[in-house]
Amino acid sequence: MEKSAPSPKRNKKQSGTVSKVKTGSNTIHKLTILIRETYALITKVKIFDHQFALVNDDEPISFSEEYRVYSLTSGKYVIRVIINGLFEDNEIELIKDKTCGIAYQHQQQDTEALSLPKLYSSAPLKGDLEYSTTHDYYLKPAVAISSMPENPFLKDKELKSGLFIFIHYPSKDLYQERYRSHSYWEKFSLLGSNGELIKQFPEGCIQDRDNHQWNIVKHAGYIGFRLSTKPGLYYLQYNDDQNGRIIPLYVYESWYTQFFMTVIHTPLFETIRIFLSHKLAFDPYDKYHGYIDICLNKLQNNDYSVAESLVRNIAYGKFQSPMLGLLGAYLYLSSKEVKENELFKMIVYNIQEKILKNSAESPDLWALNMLSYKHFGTTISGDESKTISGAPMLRIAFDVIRNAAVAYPWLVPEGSINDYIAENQTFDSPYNTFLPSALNAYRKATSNAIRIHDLEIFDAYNSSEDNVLMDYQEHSPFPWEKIKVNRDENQNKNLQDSLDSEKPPKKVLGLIDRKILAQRSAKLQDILKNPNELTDLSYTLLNHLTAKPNMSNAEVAKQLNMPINTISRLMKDMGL
Amino acid sequence: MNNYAVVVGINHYIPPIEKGLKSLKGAIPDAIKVRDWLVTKGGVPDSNCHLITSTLDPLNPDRDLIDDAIEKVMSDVKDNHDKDADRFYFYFAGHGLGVELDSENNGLCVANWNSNTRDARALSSKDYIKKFKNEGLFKEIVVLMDCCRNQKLYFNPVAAPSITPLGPNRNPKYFVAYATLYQNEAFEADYASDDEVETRGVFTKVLLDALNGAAANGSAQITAVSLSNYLQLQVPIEAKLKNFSQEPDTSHNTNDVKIMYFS
Repeated sequence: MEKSAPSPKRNKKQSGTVSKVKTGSNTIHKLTILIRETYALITKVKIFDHQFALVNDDEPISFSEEYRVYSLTSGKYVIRVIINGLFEDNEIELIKDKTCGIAYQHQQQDTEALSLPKLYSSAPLKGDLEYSTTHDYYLKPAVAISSMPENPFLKDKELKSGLFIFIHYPSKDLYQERYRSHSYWEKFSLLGSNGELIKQFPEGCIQDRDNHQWNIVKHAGYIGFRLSTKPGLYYLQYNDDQNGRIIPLYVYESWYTQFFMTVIHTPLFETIRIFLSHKLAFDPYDKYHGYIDICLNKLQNNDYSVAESLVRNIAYGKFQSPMLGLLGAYLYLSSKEVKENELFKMIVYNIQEKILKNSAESPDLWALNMLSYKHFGTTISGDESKTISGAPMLRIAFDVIRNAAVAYPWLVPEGSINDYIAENQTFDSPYNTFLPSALNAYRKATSNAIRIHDLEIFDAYNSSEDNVLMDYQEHSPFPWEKIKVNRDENQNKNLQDSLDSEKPPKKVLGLIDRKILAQRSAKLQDILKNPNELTDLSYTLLNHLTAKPNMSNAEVAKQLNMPINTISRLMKDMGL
Repeated sequence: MNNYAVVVGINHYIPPIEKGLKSLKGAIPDAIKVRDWLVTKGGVPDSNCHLITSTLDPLNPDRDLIDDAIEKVMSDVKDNHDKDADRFYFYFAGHGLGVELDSENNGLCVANWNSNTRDARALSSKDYIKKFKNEGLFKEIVVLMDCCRNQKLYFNPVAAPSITPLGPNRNPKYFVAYATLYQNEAFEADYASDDEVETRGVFTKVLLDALNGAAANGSAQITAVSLSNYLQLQVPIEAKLKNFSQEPDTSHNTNDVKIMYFS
């Protein structure tokens, strides 16, 4: 096999540094590939020679050049352009120096444009990146519905936050080919933070069969829903026996949360895209949407490297696209990188304190503090609350909470929504989704329990609104004395102080007491003889305990990477 | 050459309604074809090649069957070749599941896997590869896995039973190939063969094309390098023809001096 000369060391903005060298009969030529900036970060290039040998192994993540130069011998090559896992092969013949372009807008006449794979997104995006899934019959309704006043007779100027949900088929052709009843949309509903029903779809939605002038094509297969609403946590529920799911959606003060997902009768949860927009209307030309895809792909593949140009876009883009800022921060703080520490300290501070301000209750922001503590030794502002109620939107945020709760049990209290999600988490999306049984169990648990931090009246007791308390005391069945006695003495400690003072033991205590062991072994035998309907995680627990019955809850939690309180709850439920 | 092989093809699984996995069609035909190549061009004596294909009733193989075949190989090498044989092939076609935060590991699911039994009925690819290398019984190790690598649930597949340094080969040459990248799926597709349609794994189809000559380099030899390059080039093309997206993941420790030949 002919060997090609090694590629020259890549320097930024390198120009014409490779000259022709004759080596016997193998003339070396320069192959230059120019790449448009927005494509540079998402494009991988592989070059195969006529013997299918890979002559380069280009990893664009490690550098951010807008052009790459290779020195190759004369001959035929295949240039494979890979974007988001899809590729196009381009065959070229190199007989002299050659320049090729990847979506390069300034190319000269003799620059050969390379064919690119099609890009796909559930959000109908436009701009520099060309998406084959962006159809006018989705784009126009998405923009129009997102900017509609909720009530055409009222201008909801007071609330500058809200939700926009747009769910659609990949194309109208596919929808019409596989058309089923519009009752499909009835499987979706919007819930409040405690799982209470806010809207049963398609009520309140604009559908593809509505008569609006911007609805170019009927029966294109979409619904759009917009709601001006106060900041806080909401859930989108997909109600289905086989594939039911709950998707957390957080609305930030002064921001609109825009949700997109593709369905083909069943939702494709991996296509979920969530943007945070200052403007009411969805902007398909927002250049930062493409970078969100880059971050999501990297998170999905546990690739935490952040190239220089991506860092730049995160730093500048976070003001317009806080979701990009959040994802970028999660990426960097999940890595072992240190060189951009000062920059990312500023980034996370600005995200929490300035851009998404007054959102300390946001689980995604709160979880970021765990990573900040791990990476920098401090939480973001030093004054975050010790615990959080509510589920994050990002799967990595939930994973951070779940993993941290192995060592710090109080991060996921027993009976909290995150306790139930840990048992029912799903993994087919970079966003956090979980089985409906988690929310059902949480609702049942909270309706039966007195929870100090959920009682508004308890807050009123501590406020100056004594009249409110007096009225309530006359009519309330709650035992006030017990509430006061049970108050958590550490409630006032913040997250930083708690993490500092409650450091986990270096060694997890692995074994349990003999008496408990004997009881557990007997119970295990009973369960194994007559197994009732247990959850998957319960069975996994049983497997681990069968192999090693004397493991403590902490040891099991460590092995399974689960919150200790979740393990404890399941053990209690099984009588172990 | 003193070569050995364990070849596993699993089509039959506990069904999804019982928390298992959907049945496959291509794993058994692929395993048989790989076995056929091994005992002909692959240089593995028939008696040294252990083929394990699944059955529905009884539902097999379980972990023990596969472990027994591996242990038989190890035992034969110890008894017959003074703990120093040439090459060991391990091939698996069936369902696989990715492992959280571990891109080098994959769970290879045996027939009686379901989400209740979870860890206990899936082989840890990382750990078994470690066993094959570290036991030092072979000069060369080849591990080929045609299965998915996407994570679907909390999962920690079970380690290989005992890893004890036995032979003299401290740093064997190795070639490891997954059908797909970490957190991605591998696919099977229909191929016309004579007058019938046969379902094959996309990866194994390309793999056998490669081993039957398509991956030969300019010196008409198939090496680990040329095999890896061919798979990198052709698997995505083949998958695309069948409307899938799939890219293999190969690794080896060979180079221009430390060459590993497949022909």
